[in-house]
Amino acid sequence: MSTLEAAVLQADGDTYLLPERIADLTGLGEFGMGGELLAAFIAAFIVGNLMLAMTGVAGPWAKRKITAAFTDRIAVNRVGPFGLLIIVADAVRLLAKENIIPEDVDRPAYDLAPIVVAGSAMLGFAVIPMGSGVQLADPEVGLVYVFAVSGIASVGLVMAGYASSNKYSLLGGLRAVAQNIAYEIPLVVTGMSVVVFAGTLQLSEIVAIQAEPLIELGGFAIPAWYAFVNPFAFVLFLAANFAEIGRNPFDTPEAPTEIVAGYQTEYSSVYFVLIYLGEFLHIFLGGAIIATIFLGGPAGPGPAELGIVWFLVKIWAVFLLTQWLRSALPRVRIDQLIEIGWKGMLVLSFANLVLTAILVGVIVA
Amino acid sequence: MNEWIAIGALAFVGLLIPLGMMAVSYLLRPSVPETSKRATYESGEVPTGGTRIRFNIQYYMVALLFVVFDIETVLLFPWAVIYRPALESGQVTLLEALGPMLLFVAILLVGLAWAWRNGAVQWAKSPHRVDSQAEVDRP
Repeated sequence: MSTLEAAVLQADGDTYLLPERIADLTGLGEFGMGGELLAAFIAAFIVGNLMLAMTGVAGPWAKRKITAAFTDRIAVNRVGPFGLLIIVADAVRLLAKENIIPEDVDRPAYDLAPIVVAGSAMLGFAVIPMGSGVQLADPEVGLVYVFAVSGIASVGLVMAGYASSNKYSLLGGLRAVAQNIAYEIPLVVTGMSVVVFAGTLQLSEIVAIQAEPLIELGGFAIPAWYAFVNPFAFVLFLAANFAEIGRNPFDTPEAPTEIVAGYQTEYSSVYFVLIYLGEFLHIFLGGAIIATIFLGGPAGPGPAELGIVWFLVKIWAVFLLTQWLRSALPRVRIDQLIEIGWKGMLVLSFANLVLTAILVGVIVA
Repeated sequence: MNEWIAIGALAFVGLLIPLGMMAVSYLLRPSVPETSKRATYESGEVPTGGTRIRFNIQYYMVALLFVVFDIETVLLFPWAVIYRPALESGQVTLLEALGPMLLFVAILLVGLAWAWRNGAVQWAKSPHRVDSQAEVDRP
């Protein structure tokens, strides 16, 4: 594909995806199927490692710094500037730990669980439009795909909880699946209310629709981000998302004061790193979904090339919010959590969907 | 280019990164096996009894209700996608587009109300806790 064709494609509103861009830049597209596969692999490798780098910064460094700031401490500051080299030190330290495997574990499941948790978290990023042309794929079922793959992690958590042969792990795994299931439906139904507005599941389309101005206030146009169009849905989605990724105040599956560390109690060394990595990837995936369907995706002031900067700012803002809640809110009890989910959020999310549908119907008709 | 190739590539990378980390860790880490080290953690005590026991897994909440509502969301998504375009085309009235969906949701909400009344959407309490609760309730 020549540059001209690419420009035409873009003008058509069809997105110019990262694998195609790499194929054009490197000339890999001329090598047929093999070249395309290689270009797709390079693109996937870039996106995967971008997310890995972000969790690397978030896990050992940002989380400590943020919590320390909330509790009036300094945290890591000895290794490198602002203590940033702690990321390298921690990575080496954790990977070099002895991997202790308890006696009674259910072997294939115990080893597969960390891979499932970490690998499935990465899958969701394939369809997220990150701005500046960083998007791996843009299928028409984008939003459903994201919800589908982000649910796979529950399987990994149950595997980890059951296979560990530890009572705390079993309780943690059970709590994790009960929680994920209870909040998955409010999450998806609230996401659906955005689809009712947008009339499409394709994420690039949902982002494009949000670029239109909602109202003009003194020469300053407020974009039609769905967080502004439907703030009720935004709040519901945020709450359901925090429960889905198991962050405070909904972190009952790994509540340290109740069940030690839940499903990850018996994991050490690289397995622990992988489960931890999967959790952070899930926080960022949740942030990416929120940014895409409620906060205009990569939209922001300045030229369109800055898109990825704004996108990263938005998902880091969601990450900061999770850490803020971690410092500020007490944990809910498991029975309260379940009741909030099934009796509160579920009913509210259906009310939101029905009201949104009526509203859209009245506006359009 | 088919987009699903790129998604498959990311799945491959998502598998490759954990396996790579496990390989690096395998090269770096020591291995000093010892029996007492391999005991499961039970707050520092010697573990008592097995873990694979009969256990209340909150069947209605974890399995049954979820399946019902998840299938509902799957069936609602096509409606959500075509709802606005259908109204904008002017070929259907608001009632025709909205009515069936409202009925569908209403039927499932009746189901939820039934489950609610039967206590299926409640985290089952242990017998001990129910007893102590009853004592509190007694005047």
